[in-house]
This record gives sequence, C-alpha cells and structure tokens, in this order.
Amino acid sequence: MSTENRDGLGHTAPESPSADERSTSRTARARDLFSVPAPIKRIFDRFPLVVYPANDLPQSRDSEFRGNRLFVFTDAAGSRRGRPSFNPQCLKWQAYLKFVGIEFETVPSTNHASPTGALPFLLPTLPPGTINPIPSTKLQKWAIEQVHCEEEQQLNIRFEVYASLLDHRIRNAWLYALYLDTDNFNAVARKLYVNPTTTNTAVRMVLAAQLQQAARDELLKSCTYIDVNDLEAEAANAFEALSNLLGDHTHFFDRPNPGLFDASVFAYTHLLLDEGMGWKQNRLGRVLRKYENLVQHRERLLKCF
Amino acid sequence: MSTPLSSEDEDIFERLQNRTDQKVLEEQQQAINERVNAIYQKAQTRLGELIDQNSTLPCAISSVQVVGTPHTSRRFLERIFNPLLESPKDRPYTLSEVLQVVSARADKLNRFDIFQQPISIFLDQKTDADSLGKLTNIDVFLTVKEKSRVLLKTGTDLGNAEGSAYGNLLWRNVFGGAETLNLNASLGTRTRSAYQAAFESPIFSDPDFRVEFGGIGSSTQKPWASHEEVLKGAWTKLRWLTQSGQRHELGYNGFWRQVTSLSENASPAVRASAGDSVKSSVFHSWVNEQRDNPLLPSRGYYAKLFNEVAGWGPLRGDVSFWKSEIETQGAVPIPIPGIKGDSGISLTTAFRAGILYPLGLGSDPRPKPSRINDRFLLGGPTDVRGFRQCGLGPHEGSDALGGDVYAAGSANLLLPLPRVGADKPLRLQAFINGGRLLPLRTAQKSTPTTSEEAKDAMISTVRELGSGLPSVAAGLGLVYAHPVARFELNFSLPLVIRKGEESRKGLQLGIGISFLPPHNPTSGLMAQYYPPQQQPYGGHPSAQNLQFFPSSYSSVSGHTTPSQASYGGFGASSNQPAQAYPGAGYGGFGSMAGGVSGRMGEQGGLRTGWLAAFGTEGYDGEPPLLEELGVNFEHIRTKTLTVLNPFARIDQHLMDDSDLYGALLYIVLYGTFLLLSGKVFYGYIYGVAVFGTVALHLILSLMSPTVDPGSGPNAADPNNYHPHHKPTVSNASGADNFSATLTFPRSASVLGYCFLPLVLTSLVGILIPMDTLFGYLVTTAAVGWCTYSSSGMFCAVTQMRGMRGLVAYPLALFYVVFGIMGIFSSRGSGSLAAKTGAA
Repeated sequence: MSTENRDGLGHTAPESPSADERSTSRTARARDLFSVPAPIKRIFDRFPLVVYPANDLPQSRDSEFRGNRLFVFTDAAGSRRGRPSFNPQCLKWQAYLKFVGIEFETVPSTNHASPTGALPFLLPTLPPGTINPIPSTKLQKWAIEQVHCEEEQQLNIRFEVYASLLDHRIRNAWLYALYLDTDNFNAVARKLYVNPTTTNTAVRMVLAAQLQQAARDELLKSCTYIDVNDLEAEAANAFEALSNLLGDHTHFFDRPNPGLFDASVFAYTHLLLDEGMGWKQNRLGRVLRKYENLVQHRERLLKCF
Repeated sequence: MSTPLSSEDEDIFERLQNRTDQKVLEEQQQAINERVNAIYQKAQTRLGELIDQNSTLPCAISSVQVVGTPHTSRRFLERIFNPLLESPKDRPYTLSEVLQVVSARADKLNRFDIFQQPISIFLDQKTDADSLGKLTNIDVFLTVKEKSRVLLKTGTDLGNAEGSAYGNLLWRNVFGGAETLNLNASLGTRTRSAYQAAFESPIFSDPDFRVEFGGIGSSTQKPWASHEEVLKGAWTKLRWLTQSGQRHELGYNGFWRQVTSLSENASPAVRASAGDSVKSSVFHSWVNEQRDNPLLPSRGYYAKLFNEVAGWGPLRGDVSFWKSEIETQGAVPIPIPGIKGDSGISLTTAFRAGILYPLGLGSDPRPKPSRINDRFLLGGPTDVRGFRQCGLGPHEGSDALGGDVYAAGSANLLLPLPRVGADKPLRLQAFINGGRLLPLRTAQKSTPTTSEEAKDAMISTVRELGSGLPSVAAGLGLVYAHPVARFELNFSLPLVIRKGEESRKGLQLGIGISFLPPHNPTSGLMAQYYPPQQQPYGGHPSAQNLQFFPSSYSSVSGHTTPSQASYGGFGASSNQPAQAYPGAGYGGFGSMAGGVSGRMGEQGGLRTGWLAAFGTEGYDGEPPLLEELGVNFEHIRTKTLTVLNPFARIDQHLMDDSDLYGALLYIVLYGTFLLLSGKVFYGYIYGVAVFGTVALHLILSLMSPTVDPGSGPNAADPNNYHPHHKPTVSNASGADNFSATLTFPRSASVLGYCFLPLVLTSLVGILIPMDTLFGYLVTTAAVGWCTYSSSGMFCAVTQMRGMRGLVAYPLALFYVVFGIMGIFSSRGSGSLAAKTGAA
C-alpha cells in the first residue's frame, strides 16, 4: 500500500494504470477499516479447529446418474425405459432433444419443481456442479449451443404460423379433450396427473378440481365461452393444414432430420394415437387418423424412442 | 382566598406548618400507614382466630350460587359444584374443609379462563336454621365477572428476518361451557400467510382435560432449503394435565404439504422432493416442566417426549414413519461461598435427540424413504448456537436437507452482570454446544429398501452419531429474558464442523421463546403450525406451568362481618392464623400469573410468540380493539376543537393521553390535499414531521421545568400558594406529575393536532392558486395560527410560564416548512417557485 501511496503523491505520472491503482488502493484502505485486525484475524482463521468430511446426503439415488436430466411428467417405469412423456409440452422437448441427438435421462417430476412453474426443465451435466436448471423456454437455445443444430424458426418463414396452429387450436382442443371431457378426465388425466401425486382421496379431489379449473381458465382466455364443436372443428382444420404442409415429405419443411416442428406435432399426434393412453372419448384421434401422412409421421418418429 | 370556618383555622395553620416541613409530613404519613396496617392486621388476626375457633365446626353446604354468569350454562357449572353439595360419606364437613373445597372449586373455575380474576367467595350461614339438625348450613356465593366473550387482536411481529402482521379473533365460552374458538390470520415475509381455526372445549367441565379440533392453511418460506411449504390440514387432540403437573397430548394430524416455489438455485435434492405429500399421523407428547423459569431457568428440570406414527397401517397418507424425540434440560444454581442466598450463577445443560424410523406404508412392508418436510433440522441462533439456521447436518449446495437421526447437547454457564445484580433477568453466558444430524444410511452407505435393512441402517446410523466429535461451537454472550421471549447476543466460534455445514463466526443474535432444550427449529421457526412438532402449544412452558402465587386481594374490607367473611384476603397475610390451614388454599385460588391463561397450552393460537416481545399484543384484561389501539374519537374531537378555537382556555390535561391518531390523520390529509393540488410531497412531509418532531421534543423537554410543577412552582411562588391544597396522600401529585412530563408521543400529538390550520389551508390550495400574494397571506396566517395553538398547548402541558415566545419560535420554523411546501405544491404565479428555481 505504501508504494501506491507514493505513486499517488507523485502527480507526475498521469497514466491511466496508476489512476486505477489509486482507486483500488482507496477501496482496499476502506475495506481495511472495517476488516478485522490481522493478528485477531489469524486467530479467527484457526477456527474451526477440526473439519471433518461432509455428511452423507439422504437418498443419493438420482445423483448416481451423472448425465443431463430432463424433468418431465412420466412414471418411474417410463422414466427407466425412456418412454415418451404423457404431457405434450414435455414430450415436445423430449422428442426434440432426442432428434438433435442430445443424451439425457428423463426424471419423473412435478410442476412444483420447475423454476418456471411448468415442466419440462433440464439439469445439465456441464458445467460440473451446476444447479441452475434450464427451463423449457431456453431449451432450444441450450440445445443449439450443445450440438450446433440449426434454429429452424430462422430457416422457414412459415414455421411460426404453423407453430401457432399447434399452440392454440390443437392445444385448446387437447385441453378440452383431456381435462374437461369428464370421461377422459376420469380415465386419463386423473390416472396420469392426479393419482401419482398422493394417495389421499380428499387431496386428489382438490387437485383434480384445480386442474380442471386451470384448463377452463386457459380456454376462456381465448374465447368467452367453451364450445366443444368449435374447438374440435378448429383442431380438425389445423390437422388438415398440417397434413397439407407435410405432404409426402418425411419431415416437416422437407428437412432431412426431424426437428423442433416435428417434435411439436409428434407431441400431440403421438398422444392422440397412443392406445396406451386409454382414451374414453377420442374424437380428436379419429379426426387425426383421417390424415394418413400425419399418422405415418408419428410412427416414423416413435421409432426413435 | 375564602375565609374558612373559624373552627378550622387551627387546623389550617397546622397544615401550613406540616407542609413546609416535609419530614414531619412524612413521619405523619408513616404513622397513618402503620395505623392502617395495624388495623388491617388486627382484623385479619381476628378473622383468623374466628375461623380457627370454628374450624372444626361441622357444617353442610346447602347451596352454591354463582352470580354473574349470563353466558355460562347451568349444566356446566353444576358439574363443577355439584360434588360440593354432597358431604363426605362418613362425616360432615368441618368449616375449614368447606373453605378448602370451595376455594379448590373456585380455582378450577378460574382455570377455564372465562371469568375475570379474582373470583370472590362469600360464605353465609343460614340463619333460618335447620336448627333441629346439628349441622350448620352454609350458603356459598361466588361472584364472578365473565371476561369479554369476543376478543379481537391485531398486531405485528418482527424478528429474525421475519416480519408479520396478524389478526386474532378469540371467542370465549362459545356454548356456555368454556369452549373456545380461536381464529387466526397472519401475513408475513417468511410465513407468507397462515390461517388457523381451533375449537377447544373442556371435557366434563374439567379445565385440565380438553379436546381440541383445528384446521390450518399456511404458506411458509424455508430459505434454508430454497423452497416454500404450503400446508393445509386439520388436527384433533386430547390434552390433559396430571395431578403432578405433567402435560399430555394425544392426537391425530392430517396434513397436506406442498413443497413448491423453489428458488432459482435450489439444489437437485430439493427439486426431487418438490410436490405434494399427505401426512396422516397419530402422536403423543408428554411434558414435565419443573423449571423455575422456562426462559431463564436457574433450577429444576424439563423433559419432553414426543412420539408420532405416520402412514402406518390404517393411517395411509403418503409418508410413513415413526418419529421419536426426547428433549431434556436441567439447571442447577451454583452457590458462591461467602454469598448468602442465590448467587444468580447457574449451570444449564440440555440434551435432545430424535430418530425418524421409516415404516412401510399401509400394507406395503417396504420402508418409505423420509421426505424433506419430515426430516429433522439442527442449528441456529436459538438452537445449536454458533451455526446458521439449520446449519448442521447434510447440505447440498446451500440447502439444508435435514437428517433422520440427531443428537444435540449444550452447556451454559449463566452469570449475573456485575452492578446489575442477580434480580434482573440479564445474564452473561458462556456456552458450548454441539450436535450431529445424519441421514439414514446403511453400513454400506446406501438407502435401505427393506425393513430389515432399515433396522440395520438405523442401528448403524445411531452408531455413526458417536464416531468422531460432534460439530461443536462455543462462545460468550448476553442473555436477556423478557417475560415473553429470550434475547441472546452471542459471540461464537466453531470448534468442530463438517464440510458443508454452515457455522457462524462472530456475533449472532437469537430471539426465541425457548432455546435449545425445548426448541425444534422446524417448529419454532417455520413449521410452527404443525401441532405434532409444534411449539405453539408445547413451546409455551410458562403457559402451562400454571404458576400460582398467593393472591393478594385488595378489597378485604367491607365483608369482614362474622357471618360474611371474604376469605380471599385471609391467606394473603401470612401471619399466624394462616398456618392453621395447611395447603394455604384460601389465598391460593385463582390469581395466576398475569397473562398466563388457565387453558392448557395454546396461548394466542397461531402465534408462537416468535418475537412476541416486539409484538403489539397485550397480555390480559384485553380491552376492545379501538380502546386497545388508543383510538378515542371523543378525545380527537375535543383536541381538534381546542386547536380551532385559539382563544379557548387550554386544559392542562388535554394531552394526557397523547393520542397520535388524530395527528397522523392530519399529516396524511395534508399530504393528500397537496397531492390533489398537484405535487406528491408525502415523503417530505413524513420526513420533516418525524425529524421536526424529534428535534422539537428535545428542545422543549430541555426547556420544560424538571421539577414537579404541582408542588415546585407553587411552593416557590408565594402568590400561588394555596392553603387549601391538601398535602394528603390521596391527593398525591400523581396526576400533575403525569401531565408535567413531556413525553415524545405527547409532543408529537400536540404538533400533529396543531397542524390542522395548515391542513385547511392546503384544502383551500386545491381550489385557489397559493403561489400568489393571497396565498402567502393565508399561509402566513395559518402558520401563525398553528404556532399560536401549539405554543399555547405546550406551555399548558408542560406548565411553562413566561416562555411562550421562546417556545413559539422553533414551532414557527417547523410549521413554516410545511407552509412553504403548500405554496410550492400549488399552481399560481410561480414567482416564488421561479425565484428558487425549484418548479
């Protein structure tokens, strides 16, 4: 510090580095004022006298796997075998990451665990020790950084337009079919979303009601009342448009490899066509089956899993 | 000066002399006191003798009447008093026995906490007499006054990184059987929101045996594990108090817990445990409190045993475990040779430990791994000192994950401060404490999957507790035991820690209801609303301690006729006759410590009193809400009128209640009017008001006479001398004294009320531009008016004479600031604003 002081006194050297040094010395001096005097600090630094290795952690089961972990709606068995998630949003990203060739493992989770309040999110392996999850909104950017795949939105101007078909028309019809159709809700949604969270009947009822209300609120955002026929007709139109877009190409926008848009379409078509879902009423599925190319598209992509 | 009657002339002369000679006066007063005392003692002795002589008089209780119970059901009272009417089988009651049993019943009545204390008892001998029988018939009268049935409390709590506001509605005696309904709502920074309802009722009219039903919804931040816990649930429990003062609770809990709102950097383990879980459990807790003072014990011991079984067999739910905890604390006073009596030095040691044993859920025999909500946490300024909140045990990143097995101990040496003494609840402490918190692991360091493995894991984990030194910290500190909370300021250094554990070097402030022994960090701090682990009910050892001390009845006289004796005062005087009645039951009934309710446990419902010391809650004898808040509209009106009429005589007691609501109202109104006239000045107004008030208060309190003006100036000035000013004790200068001292609230009140003319001016300013000549004139007039009223009030309140000008000067400066604000705020010619360039 004393040398710097001398430096400061000698006004003959007006170079920028010395000015920097002066300012740092000033802050250092200010810090010194508040810091513990050196001899006492030396004594303090001796404490703790003994440091043992860290405690074990409870249940280190999932820390055994050291790869990327994608947290999605799935069950334990599905997670072990890497089966497609039963939630379209999760499945879209699960499929996308698979298509672009990123290794990951799915982990069953709930919306409560997500930083955004909605699944999916991803805990990357790298950099080591990272605990900051990547929410679904930033997954594509992260994937592009990882494997340098192209950002499809940039390639085709029609991407956004068709994506909005999925995000609105098909999603709304899906919301109705899954949550507000009583038969489907009891047979599918309860089984997949409500029952795994708890065994308690009363809590299940509350959660089921909350879920249905959330779906209803979501639908009422875009219209003043819920008209089933309207929703289904719009979805049918959307499927038709998608079918026309696909044409006889293997993938959307005639890409050699499946990408984000294929994943988005697959997320709905797979779940609507999957026999394992146990739909009671599947009018959307019936509509979808009319478009052979979409059905085949789904079957092609399913082979990836 | 009037001409008094000639017969009194001498008297007056005598008094004049007395007055001038303070010593004589004192002596006289002492003589009077002694005399009164002697008479009282004599009456007591006589009464005692009388009872003593008649103590073996056989008698029967012919009737019991409880007077003053409009809301209490007859059936309820009958259950309490019916046993009195039946004499013991073999022989009739003696008079002393009657006294005993009656006061025992009255004591019971008191413990329901529905009547105000004291309950007065009168015994009356039936004169119409059943003289044919040889028994003396006695009528028992109990005069009670019911406490207000509905009690609304609001308040704020501040504490260790937690601030909250709460409202509490207590409905006593709901159905006339001492049932209690307690509704509680609080909003805070950590306990985001909590709503609780609890209904409690004594069973079989027994205050020591109660049943409670309750429900809760809360949302609590748990920053040590980066999440928020949303809790909804209900409980029911039986509580009873044994003869020896041990408390038991047996109950059922059903809680739905949601680990949600994780923070950005929550660790993977916390992310993995996010979501819902339902706990369905039965629990039992046993508490034996034998300490002399729960917050600063110097002798005695405390023991608590808590057991909870969740999810097992028919209980279902999502978690399944057996949780068992033991907490003990012992304190011994350390005598110093050469010092008589209590030296104030004491050694306190405490130990606690717990295990969380995984069980199979329902019919599934496989043990369920524990969840983050159920695991133990250890460490914190009120727990294991020298560590951060939940700083002990397994940590992933910065998140405390908790453990399944723990043990912790502490030893504190408490020393009284020199010059402060042992009587004050202030101590120096030297402490060493430590503990270990471990997750359940098998010897192979894996998670158990079968019940056999779970058993082995538990054994090996418990063994692991002893391997190596525990994590230990030691330090020195100051302890202050406020009646509601204990404050500790410690300087601590960690001695032994494990990697990842968060110790704290240096100063640590701890505030809590109960420290290491009976405190569970999960409960005391956050999960305070879990009845099972809860301290809210168990954490108030003082509340359940039912500390009785001999009542001192003030109104002894008046009923000391032979047939109608108020026995209340009898035991209070501890002279000879009292010893004739072992058990000292007479004086002992009722009169629990102030604020200690007779209800077992729960005091104030939701509140753990976490920082109740900073709370605004009262203790007992709760007045209605507005009264408690000190809002008295009549006073506000009177003061306002006094300000508005500058020529009115100012009553010197006008500001005695130093109410601030009117003042605050005017300040806010002023800000609002200025807002309406175009500028937002709230910040300046509050700032100037606060600093101005503080400064003015300092100045004026320096100026105001320090001597008691009631006697001081009078005695000094012969012109003021008033011969009829009786220097009797009853007319002690209490009231005068009171008004003479200028307290800060009183200054603030005066300043605030005298603000009114400026408020009116600002109202005018909304309509008329004030930055004009007219505005200046009006504002000047208003400032003058303010100054005039306030200086008058200050002079009256502080009894300053001939200093009004001096008082007025700083006040004028104060009001001018506000006046200028009003001018700036308003539209107008802008001349002043332009000149100052502030527009």
